[in-house]
Formats: sequence, structure tokens, C-alpha cells
Amino acid sequence: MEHLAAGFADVFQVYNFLLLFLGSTLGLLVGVLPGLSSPMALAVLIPVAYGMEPMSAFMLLIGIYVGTKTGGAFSAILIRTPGTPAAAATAMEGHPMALRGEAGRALGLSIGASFIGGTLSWLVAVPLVGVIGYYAVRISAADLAMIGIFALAMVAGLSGKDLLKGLIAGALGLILSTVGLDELTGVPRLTMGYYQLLGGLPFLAAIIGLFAVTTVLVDASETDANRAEPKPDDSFSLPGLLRDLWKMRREMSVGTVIGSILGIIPGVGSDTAGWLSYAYVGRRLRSGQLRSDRQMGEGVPEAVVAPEAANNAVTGGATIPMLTLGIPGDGSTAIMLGALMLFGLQPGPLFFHESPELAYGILVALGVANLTTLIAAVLLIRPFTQVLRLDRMMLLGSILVLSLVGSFASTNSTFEMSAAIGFGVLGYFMHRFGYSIPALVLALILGPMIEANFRRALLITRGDATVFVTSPISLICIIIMVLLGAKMLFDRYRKHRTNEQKKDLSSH
Amino acid sequence: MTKSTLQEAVVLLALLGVAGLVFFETIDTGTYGRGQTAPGTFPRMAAALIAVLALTRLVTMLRGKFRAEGNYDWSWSTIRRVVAATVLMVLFYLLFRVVPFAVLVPAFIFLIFLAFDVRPMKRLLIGGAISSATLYVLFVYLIRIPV
Repeated sequence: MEHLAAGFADVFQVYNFLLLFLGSTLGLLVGVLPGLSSPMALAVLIPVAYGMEPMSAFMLLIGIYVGTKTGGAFSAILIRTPGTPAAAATAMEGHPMALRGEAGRALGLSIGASFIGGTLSWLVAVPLVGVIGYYAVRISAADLAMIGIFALAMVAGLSGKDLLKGLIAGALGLILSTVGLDELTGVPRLTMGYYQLLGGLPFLAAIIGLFAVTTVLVDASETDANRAEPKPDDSFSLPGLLRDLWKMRREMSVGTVIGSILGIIPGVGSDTAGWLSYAYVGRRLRSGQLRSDRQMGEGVPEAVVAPEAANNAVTGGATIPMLTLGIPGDGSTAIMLGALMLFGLQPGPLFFHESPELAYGILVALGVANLTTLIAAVLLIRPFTQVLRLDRMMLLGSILVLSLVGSFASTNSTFEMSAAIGFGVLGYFMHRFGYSIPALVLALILGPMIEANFRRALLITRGDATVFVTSPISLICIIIMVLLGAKMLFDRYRKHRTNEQKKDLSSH
Repeated sequence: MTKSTLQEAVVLLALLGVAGLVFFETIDTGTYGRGQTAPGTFPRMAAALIAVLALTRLVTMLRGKFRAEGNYDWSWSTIRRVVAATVLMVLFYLLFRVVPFAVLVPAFIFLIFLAFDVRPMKRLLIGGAISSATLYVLFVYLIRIPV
């Protein structure tokens, strides 16, 4: 307890607090720009941080880490271009809200949900740091594979209008995720002779293409009469935001729980948490449990709140395996792990005993960074909503350059640029024919994890596939999938019968 | 068969083709040892899944159980800007390492504004200049990408 108090004292030193605030603001700005991700910003700033005291360095890095999670939602909502992959789910409903003149409301909801999700997960994570760390490493390969399949099936089934098309998009994403060297044997797969594909398809370029480039092409193809022009925005007010958040407390809580749990599982990360929460809102809306006069894709506010709460709740969970076990929960925590090692520290079970000041300081900073990000984000809402006042067609042209050069900037390779164009065109056709883009994106994210763990589980059990039904977490996932699938079929059958009866009545 | 159903069927057949190409791609699918799956197994499983789903969709659609869902208007007025944007993007990619960044970005911006019917010309020129300058400062001075 005294270490925790010392951590608070360290974080609230003026210099450290200012660094945390600076990091949050920088993180927000990095998150807004497509192609610039949290790991990239952290990697760029590590040399700067290295010249500081370890505690101050981590204030800056943690500020950036938390800030980017929120910043990604700004561009996702305003121009349907997720600044970070984790914000992709937010774009689906946030942007339609912006188009109907509720950009300020959508940004407020995303910021509020991010703050609450991040803070709640932190409040839960701190007391449970030891227990969570103990159980995190005991999740088996079979469980991890099935969690991945579960998340993918939920999103594929619920994010579009057509279940089969959602599943086809998911399966296509799984194929694309296998491009590159096989992780277990080193054999090249589906690379078509391109050495650039040996490391797999460029994920960031894929995200930029599927969301930013696709949006430009879809918007540009609308005739002037059909195109949705953003309406003037004066929708942000603090009392209104608090009312909204209270009304949407259920979605926010579920998002927080999903994010906190998935954050602990190494390699799953905030992208999955965001999409799973999005699918949860979709399911509630379809089943009639959530009343709204809008369908998914038309700007449902609850589907902004849930993914934002989820992808920020991941931060609490993801740092725990990093600090207690030396296992990164996502790409950003992997870089921070490297930063700890640069300072000559060894994260792992002994870290809290050997460097308690720094360990608890980092833990406290993670919670306080939610507050500094909230302050910075609220200050930036009004300037950012002015983006929508620009001529839509001029904005679309600029987004194209931003997307293409942004994808190049991620690795300084023009190959990424060509991939962004390719995925943009693919996304355009998928949109035109009603195939789910979120399902494809989630399959790209989860594909490697599903495959690696699926094969690892079979390897460990010497080919015994019953491991997927004997492992408790895996079994729970299968049962939920079967029940939801059965319910979907039953609902469809009932709807079909009602239609038949109506036809009979009208013919008589 | 309606025009929309026909288009949908073409897409599903194309998906079946992709699935077939992946399924018959010469990735090793042999047995490595007890429990060790070969590198080609997972892509094949995903390809088989696509084939089954696409066939199911195709059959049910042709039997009239599902309606084709999407936007099937491919008239020139609808796709004119899409074609122009795609061609310009490809040109931007091809010329990125050849033409200086300070020339390429304004040229691309002006052409894309032209293709997207930004009018009047004064607005196009002023807007294009401001956008180009902003993007140039952002990428060259702030992010410092190697161009």
C-alpha cells in the first residue's frame, strides 16, 4: 500500500505530471493521423525518453500509449479514417453520427467512454495484479484459438445484414492472414513470388485501404444529390454527455469487461475488444433488447460507446502481464517492455520487489493518464469538429494523400502504398456487394493467433482434437456460439413462418 | 434471372475461383508428425469454408430464398470518380520515388479535385494550395518521412 502511495506521489510531481499530459496530447495527435500508430510513436520517442530518468521517461511513454487509443477515434468519427486499428469499430457508427450533425456528441461519447473504460479497468487491475498475472499464463492454446474463432464468428455474424456474406468475408480474411512465412515451419505461403509478402500482408496498409481509401471511393461514387453532406455541428455539451453516458451505462460496462479480460490475454489486444463490443451492441439491437430508431451502420451511439470503452479498458489488462510476467499484451506494451530493458530493468515476477517505486509508478500513471487524456481530448473537440466544415470533396482528396503517404510512412516502403490502394479497391467492391468489411479486418487481426494456437493445441495433444471441448474456456465459447447460431436460425424460421401466414391470410 | 442476381452470382463464382486457387496451391499439406499440422492445412481449411459458404449462398439465392443485397448500379456517372481516383492513386504510387514530393503532392491534389468536380476554379486552386502546403509541412517537417 505504501508503494502505491509513493507511486501517486511520484506521478503527481509537477514535472512528471506535465510529461504525462504532454504524452497524452502527443498520443491524441498521433492517434488522429492515419498510418501513425501507438507502437510507431513509442518507438520514435524511446531515444528521447532514454535521456530522462526512468520514471519521467515512462510518464511520457504511458501518456502516448493511452492518448493514441483515444485519438484514433477522432479521425474515425470525423472522416471515417481510423487513426489506429483499434478505432476501426468506432468509425462504423461514429462517422454516420458526424454526418447527421452529431460529431461533437460522438467525440464526447468516445472520450467519455474511453475515460471510464480505461479508469474502471485500471481500478480493477491494480488490486488484482498478482492474481491476474498468475492466471494469464495458464490460458491454454486451445482456449486462445477458440476465443479467436468466437470473436470472429460474432463479428462476422452480426456486423452485416447477411450472415453468410459476413462469414464469407471472415473466411477471406483468414486466407489473407496466412500470406507470408508460416510461423511454425518457415514455409512461404501464398506470396506469389513477392519477397515483400514474406512477412505477411501489411496490416496497417490494409486498415488504411479498407477504411480510408474505401470511404473516399464510396463517397466519390455517390452522385451529388445522394451524397450525405455533414450537417453543422453544435451537439457537444457536458450535461448532455453525462446524460448519454448514464443512459448507455450497460454498453459501456460490457465494453469495459470485454476489454479488461481480452487485455490480459497476450496477443489479442484492443482491436478484437473493440469489434467484439461492437458485435454485442449489434446483437442487442437485432434482438430488440436495445431500442433505437436506427440500424447498425446508421450511427447508433451505443456502438460508439461500447468499442471505445473496450479498447481503452485493454490498457489496464495489457500492462499487467507486461509488468508481472514480462509478456506483452499488444504491440505497444512490447515496445515499453523493450524500454524497461533499455533502462536495465527486468520485467517479470520479481519486478515489483526489485523496483517497487517504478513498478507502482507505472501502474499509477496508467490510471492518471486516462485523466490527462480526457482533459486534452475535451480541449481538442471543438477545433477538430471544424474539419467537417471543409468542402467534402476537397477533404476526400486530401484524405487520399494522407492515407497513401501515411501507409508509406509506417515502414518507409512504397509496397505499403500499393497494398493500401489494393485493399481500398477491394473494400469498395465489398461495400458495393454488401460484404462485411469489419469481418475481413478482424480475420486479418485474429487469423495468425487462431492458426498458431490451433496448431499448437494439436501439437501439444499429439493430434487429439477433443482438447477443444475438454478445455473449459474453449467449451464455453463453443456452447455460446452454438446457442447463438441456433437462436439465429430459430428467429429466421419464425420470421419465415410469420410471412407465410401473412401471405395465406391475404390470399384468403 | 435479374441483373442484380446475375452480378451477385458472378461475385460468388469469383469467390469460388479464389477458394479453388488457394485450395490447389502447392503448399505442403503432408503429415509432419503426430499432431503437427502442415503449413498448407489452415489456408486449405479457410478456402474450403469459403467454397461451402459461397455455394450455399449461390444455391439459396438461385432458389429465391435470399435476395441479392447491394448496390448494382455501374453506370458511368456512378463510377466515373472511382475510376479517376483509382488511376490517380496508381500514378501517385508509380511516381512517388521518381517525382519530387513537393511537385507530386500538389499535382495529385489538383487533379483529384478536378476529378471530384471541386468548383469554381478559384476554390479549387486556393483549396488545393492550402491542402498541399498543409500535407507537405505535416509529412516533411513534422513526421519527417524520407521523401
